[in-house]
Amino acid sequence: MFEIFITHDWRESDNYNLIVKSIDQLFEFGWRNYSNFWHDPRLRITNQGDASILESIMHEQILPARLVIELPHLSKDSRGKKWLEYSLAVARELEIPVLRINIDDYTEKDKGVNYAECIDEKKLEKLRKSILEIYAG
Amino acid sequence: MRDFKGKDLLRSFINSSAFLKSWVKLIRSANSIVKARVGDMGEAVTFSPYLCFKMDGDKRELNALNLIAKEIQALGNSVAIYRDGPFFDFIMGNQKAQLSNIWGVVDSKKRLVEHLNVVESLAELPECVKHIFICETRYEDIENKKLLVDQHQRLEALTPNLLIKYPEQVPTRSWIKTTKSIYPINLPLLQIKSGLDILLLDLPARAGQQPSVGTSYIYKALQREGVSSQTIDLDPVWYHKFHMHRLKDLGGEPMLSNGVSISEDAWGYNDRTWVDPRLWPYLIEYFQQDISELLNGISAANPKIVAFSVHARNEWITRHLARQLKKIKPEIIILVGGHSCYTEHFGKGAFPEYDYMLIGEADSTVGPIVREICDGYKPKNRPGVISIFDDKDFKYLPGPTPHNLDMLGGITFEVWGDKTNLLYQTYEGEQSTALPLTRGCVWSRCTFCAERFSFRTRSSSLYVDEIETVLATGRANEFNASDSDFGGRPEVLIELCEEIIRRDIKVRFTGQIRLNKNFDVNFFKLMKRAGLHSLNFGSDAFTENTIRLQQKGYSIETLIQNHRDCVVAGLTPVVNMVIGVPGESEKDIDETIELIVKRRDCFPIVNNINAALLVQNSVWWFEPEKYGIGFFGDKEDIYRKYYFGVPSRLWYSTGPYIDKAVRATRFKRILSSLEKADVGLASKEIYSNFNDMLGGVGHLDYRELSLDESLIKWHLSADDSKTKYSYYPETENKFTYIKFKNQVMRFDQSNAISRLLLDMGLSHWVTDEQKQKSKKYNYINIRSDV
Repeated sequence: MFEIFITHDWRESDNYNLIVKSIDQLFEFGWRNYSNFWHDPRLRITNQGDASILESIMHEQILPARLVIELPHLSKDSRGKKWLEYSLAVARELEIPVLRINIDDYTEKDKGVNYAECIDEKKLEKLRKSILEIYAG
Repeated sequence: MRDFKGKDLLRSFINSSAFLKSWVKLIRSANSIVKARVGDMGEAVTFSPYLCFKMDGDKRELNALNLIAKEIQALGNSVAIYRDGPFFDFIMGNQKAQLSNIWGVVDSKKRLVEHLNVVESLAELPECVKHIFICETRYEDIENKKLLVDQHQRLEALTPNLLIKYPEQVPTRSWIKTTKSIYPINLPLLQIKSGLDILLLDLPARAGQQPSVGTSYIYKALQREGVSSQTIDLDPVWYHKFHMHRLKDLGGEPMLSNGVSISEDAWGYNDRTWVDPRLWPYLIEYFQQDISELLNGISAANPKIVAFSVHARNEWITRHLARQLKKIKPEIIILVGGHSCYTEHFGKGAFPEYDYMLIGEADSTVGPIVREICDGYKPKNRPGVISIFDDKDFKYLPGPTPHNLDMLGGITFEVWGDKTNLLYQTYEGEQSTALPLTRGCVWSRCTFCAERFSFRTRSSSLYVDEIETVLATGRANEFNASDSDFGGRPEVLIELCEEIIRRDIKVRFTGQIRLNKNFDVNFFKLMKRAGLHSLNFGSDAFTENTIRLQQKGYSIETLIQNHRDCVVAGLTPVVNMVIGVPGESEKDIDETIELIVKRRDCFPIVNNINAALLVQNSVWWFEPEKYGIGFFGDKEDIYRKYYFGVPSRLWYSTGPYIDKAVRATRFKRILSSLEKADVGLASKEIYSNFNDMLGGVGHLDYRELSLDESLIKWHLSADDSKTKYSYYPETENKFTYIKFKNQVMRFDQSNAISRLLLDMGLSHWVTDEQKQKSKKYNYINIRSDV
């Protein structure tokens, strides 16, 4: 069973959904996704007190994972950057390996192709190998 | 004298065939009217061997017993008795001499009987035996044995129902009202496989008779894991056992030994029987026979793990069973999950008897933990799971939440296989199916609500596929989406409706969706075309102020517009109300009543009214001070003790001041105003909630009772040695019984026609006194085709 955390900034994103679908395709029920981007809407992400609650929730999400998948697109805005940096710091602290996936390698968004369909077998195989290698140690 | 002559003439006329013919003609020509008249006059009754034979030896039952013995004796060497329960000992103890000439006894335990042959099974009976008397009094036992006898073509089953031939000679208590039902049905026997890794049990009583959604998902997770598992949903089996006994043995509501009745709608949503811990020992006593059978079955099968799906309505039996199992088989691991385990704090209080508890959605956690246990480990400190083996300093970690509902699929029919549709129906034969489309709530902001989880949805096409799969089994086309927010993604709901229409599937369904200003008449018309018949918008607030206080996220205009459009489209919208919320004023109550009454064109039915609850996981729970909520006592102490939610009497709010009394008064004001205005009040739940408010109890108070030390001790001491439940109503000597061919009818003696028949000597009083006075009985025989 692959125990995986995918970086997020508490928002749903196309890239996040794409990578989740891809791993589903690869491993079906053979992996567990600890990165639940939903959070209690009473918590305001801009409020410092609420943000520290969210930090501890994210810490709890990363703790059981044995692999962190980094989605670098998060760094495009300040909110995403903050949570990306936080999750990578936690991963380092817990000595959890990180697999960075430049999502553009896996999509052909510009051609207007549906995300779910545009990961071809070759790219999936690359993802599979990367995950297996990290798990093998 | 003149009267006497009149009676004489009338008697001779009635005894003539002309009378019978004219009556038959009359009935045929005005069948419906006559049916109504007969209904007015009397009621069809059924013989209950269970009520006939209390087995305490009173004269009336001994007389009935003698009749049975005579019938059996007349068959001589061609009859055997099917022995199992105590009725055999009773009949042999009283009629031994009469039964000395029968062939013998079939007894699976092969107990010896003086002067009679004994065989272990029906197959061992010699050719000369043509009849077998089923020596039972409970309907369920009789029917089960009849099925076994029917497998042997040469054998004819006889039962205590042969006393129907002698309606005047059985105790009057034996006659119960005939109620239309699906019974008899062939219930599956409890068969637990040996050598299982895990036995998954779902115990009574869920609301509604539908395949269990939660159990379906855990069943699938165990199948995926490839462990040796068996899933038994006993809820529908016990449902039918309960109703068979109620309808065929008792003819009325069963009564617990403390005098409290179990309502005929015990599996209904509003029934409180199962959630009141004061009744739990009595429920355990009432169901003792079934509980013992289950316990013995588990003990013999000896699975490594016994798993329970736990919710508020089955904690009474599940906790009892877990305790008993630990006594007799301490090595069996108790694993629990389900609605009562939705947070770790809640779960620990609701079900302290766990070894492992799966918190929240267990689709991804149950398989791996079961695998580890079966491999001989004692896993601990696992995310999504709490366990008695966890390290003391281990802080609970949330488990992985399933993100892809399409992968998980829908409900399963594999638990009961080809018996699914037989079992999951009401005693009247109604079927409906819960098919969840979504999980969680897209809004999750309502201040009182505890159902605040991440929202996910299945694909519309796969959902419609599942509808077709269900229909292909022959199941009725009534569906409900039991989701918190069926329409969380309106585009999915639209696709779903279009797909149903495109495939031309004929269904009826309902669900709960949030109000949305983008919904219009066309949206609702589409839903109507797809088969939707009613919608619950979860519109709990009806003034601008309460909408804001409850953070509902809609406006009054949207509230009215959505409901009006719904009505225009031909759908029935229903509303819930939450009253007594912090910040609410008397003016809000006035405006709510005014709106509902004036705009009943938009709000035809009020489905439920709830006084505000301060429950765990709600917005109020986390930040009570922000909402002006105070406590009668120390907040931390109260939160620690009442982990599930704060009982109504222990919290108040200010600005304006609202406490339990104010909530109750407002509830009463709204309810009486709506009743007076003749607004549709659809649900019994409204009155159950109101009774709770007046009676000083509510859902949280019921749960509070489970904390009561004396009750806990009582529960812990509950054992198998309690006396068997019994129920024998006192006979009311106010009826006249008349036999029409194979049907006995019961007439109230105050009825004029009944009195006339009686005067003519055409019917009889069936009281003991009457029997002793007269031995002459007459019956009206009507042709069976009438």
